[in-house]
Amino acid sequence: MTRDDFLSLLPLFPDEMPDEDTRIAFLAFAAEHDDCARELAAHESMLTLLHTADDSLELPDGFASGWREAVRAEKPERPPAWYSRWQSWSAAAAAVCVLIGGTALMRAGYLFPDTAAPVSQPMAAQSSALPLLPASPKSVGELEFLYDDQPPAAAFSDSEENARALVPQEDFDMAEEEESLDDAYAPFAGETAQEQEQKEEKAYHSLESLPQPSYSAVPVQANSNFLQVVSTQLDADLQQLLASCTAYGGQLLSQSTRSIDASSASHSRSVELTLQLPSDNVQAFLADAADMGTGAHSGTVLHSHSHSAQPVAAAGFSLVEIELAEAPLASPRPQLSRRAATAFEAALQAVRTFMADMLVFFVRSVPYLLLAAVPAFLAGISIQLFRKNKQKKERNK
Amino acid sequence: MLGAVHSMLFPIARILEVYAVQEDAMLIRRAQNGDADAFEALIAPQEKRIYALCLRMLGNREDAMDCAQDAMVRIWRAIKSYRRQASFATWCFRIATNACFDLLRKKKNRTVISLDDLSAKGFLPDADQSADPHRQAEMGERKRALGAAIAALPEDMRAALILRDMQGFAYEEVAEILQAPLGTVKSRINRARAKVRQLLQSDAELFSSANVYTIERRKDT
Repeated sequence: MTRDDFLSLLPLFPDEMPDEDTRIAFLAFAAEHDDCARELAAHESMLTLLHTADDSLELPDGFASGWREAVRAEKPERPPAWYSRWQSWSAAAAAVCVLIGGTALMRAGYLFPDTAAPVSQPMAAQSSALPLLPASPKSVGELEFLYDDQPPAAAFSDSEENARALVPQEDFDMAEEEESLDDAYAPFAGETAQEQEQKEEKAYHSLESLPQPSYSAVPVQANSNFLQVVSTQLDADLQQLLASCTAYGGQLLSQSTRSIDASSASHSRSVELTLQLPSDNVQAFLADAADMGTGAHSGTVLHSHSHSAQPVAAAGFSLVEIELAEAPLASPRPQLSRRAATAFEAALQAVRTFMADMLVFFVRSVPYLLLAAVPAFLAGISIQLFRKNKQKKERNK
Repeated sequence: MLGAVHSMLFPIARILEVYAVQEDAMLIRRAQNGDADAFEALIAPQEKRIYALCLRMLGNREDAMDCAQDAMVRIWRAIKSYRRQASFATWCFRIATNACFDLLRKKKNRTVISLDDLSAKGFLPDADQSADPHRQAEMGERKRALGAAIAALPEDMRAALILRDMQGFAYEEVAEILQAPLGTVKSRINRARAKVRQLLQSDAELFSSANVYTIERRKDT
């Protein structure tokens, strides 16, 4: 250790020495050198003085009473206003209330009556855009109600000239069509009409001699049904379904199994069944099948709707199509009863509609909000300046 | 024997310490609810230290008194915002130090205060009455010289030195009070010590042989 090292370490003594070895070397060096010993003595003397300099300090007269009086003279702070704690929350709640209230008023037609209808009346909302859309075929029958709320648009699109102008015209050649028809009737060329009729009748009877299905063709049944069930135990549910079908006096007409790619997020296997059940028992059977979704080991009803009727079914019977899809094991859907699921869907739809309305209301309110924000901003600044001035005056006093 | 006494006394000391902390917490809560009596009980142990800090920082009694009282009122006003992230003493000294800096800034009082001026204004604390007159006079001179040396330091170094070596705060607490990095604070304290020692050594008679005995004794051991 050199003298310079010693002097550089001196201010660190005794509480900030780098380590114990340095401390020992430092003290040993001081013991060996008188001038360094004197430096160290002065340093320790200074520290002792610093530590003890204020020990005998006395407080001046009036100091203790002075600050106590000053503290007690301080105006007691006003108790916090009832809204202070909830100020930020109440502001947010007020904004939400305004949004919801404004949306409700808009839906009721009290706000923005001239601009456009709210989303909850999509027909009316879209009507203004109808003239801009490609013309549709002339509306007939039940579809005419679509244009009830917008007669000018209906008149526009129903106009033949406009329709011709907008509908892409097909390249249709009548001469070519007639030639192809002549080719089709070529086998009958040169025969009289009577001979042709006899040939057609003969061909019809030959068709009748073909083997007929076990069921007779009947008119389209309006109550044919399709049901899609997601099952967590496909095989067990399939057996249960077939047993139920038999119990209701039905039979299995066809069954096909479909494998889906294992990487599919939805399910890996599905079985499609075509069943024939007595028409009277169809609804009861479907209800039972749908209840499989609420069973202890089963999945959820995904989809159920009236299917377009099949062309064939035994007399007094109806066709039922059921698709059993295997549910993914990783994320089973929450099991809800049908009624709860329906109510939930309805509520969700209502919320979605209202949120969409709210967005529309917000967007339409933006210009008014901007207009209101400017004076509010100026008023806020003025209030802040007024308060600061007041506080400054009080302090000066 | 000593071990047994220590093992008996340590839990008692620990209980007393916990009790004191709980009592302080209760006083703080009451003071935060506007109880001036609780505030006085809480701040009373600190008033002398706060006054001493202000006196060393500002260099004269009048300013120190005003500043310390201002600091007390500031602490009272701000106690509702005290969140116990630091110890109460540290928090109080942060406010008091800021009050000192504010007053120094306001008065542009950055000039070195002369030794005679300090002496004339009664800066010296009362001397120990039990000591003999010669010793008392020497101690008085030494303290006067020390006060002058401290007053000659720049404000930031002065504050760090006072808080560490006179008020006894740990380095971390000093850093928290001054709201400066720990390394900066250590550097300031070391430079302040070196500078004060240089200033004191200019008076060779007072500071040359005072603690030689300590060195000699250490040499013997």
